[in-house]
Amino acid sequence: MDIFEAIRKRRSIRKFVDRPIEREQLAKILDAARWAPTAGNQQRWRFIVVTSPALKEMVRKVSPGIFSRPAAFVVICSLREVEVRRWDESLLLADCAIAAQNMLLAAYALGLGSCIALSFSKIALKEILDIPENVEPELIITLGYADEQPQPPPRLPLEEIVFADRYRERWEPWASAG
Amino acid sequence: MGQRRVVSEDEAFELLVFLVTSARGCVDEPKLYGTFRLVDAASKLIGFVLENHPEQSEGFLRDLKQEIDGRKLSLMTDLKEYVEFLSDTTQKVAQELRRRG
Repeated sequence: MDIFEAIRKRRSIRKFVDRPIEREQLAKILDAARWAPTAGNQQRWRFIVVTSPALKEMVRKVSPGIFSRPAAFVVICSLREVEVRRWDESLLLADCAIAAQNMLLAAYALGLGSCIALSFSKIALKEILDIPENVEPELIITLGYADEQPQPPPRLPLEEIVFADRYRERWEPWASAG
Repeated sequence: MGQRRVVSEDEAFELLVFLVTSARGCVDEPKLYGTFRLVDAASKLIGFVLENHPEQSEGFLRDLKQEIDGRKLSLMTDLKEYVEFLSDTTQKVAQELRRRG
């Protein structure tokens, strides 16, 4: 699949059909995460794949931002030192977010729907999934076969969010050089 | 009117978990998410009631749940529509309250 097609056509899916995902597909999605850029090649991310029905229900119930019953949850966690500096915090979050995007695109390329959730209870999730003290759940990815085809949400035009050389100087997307 | 509406213990507990985890989430999340959690909780409550009382399926509760579920996600794409949805829903609840006396 063309990468630009995946980027443009992927949507956040919040309704899934009741159908499991093959383990091979999950492995491909997680491998895509493994190959995401990571600061200093530190790879301080850990992924918990939740597919058992009982645990999935628990994860759903402590995640007010998840409206669906997906085939799988992937909890993306960061591996932390005892004291996390602000700089480190940014790196960990960036690494997890980049890995998440790789997963979403990989899922789309495999014909699966997905969504990122941040509205979940970290405290409850740590309790339910036996997540150690020095590991922080950062994001949850929902995965499954889509039961909806959402329309693209409105996006700001490039001219509004991109500047040329200096902030507020208009940038023309298709201007010819020279 | 006045009939006893019950939810099962499991359903009540699920709603309780939703409310408590939402309360903690509201400390960090954008302010409007709190409003979303409240109407979403209302929808969940109606869903449980309807599951146990299907005879309510054509009534006010069914319509209200459909309204909430159909418009709540406008929070993510159209803030004006979302606030209108909250206003409309409030008005409908008030009208029903008045009708029930």
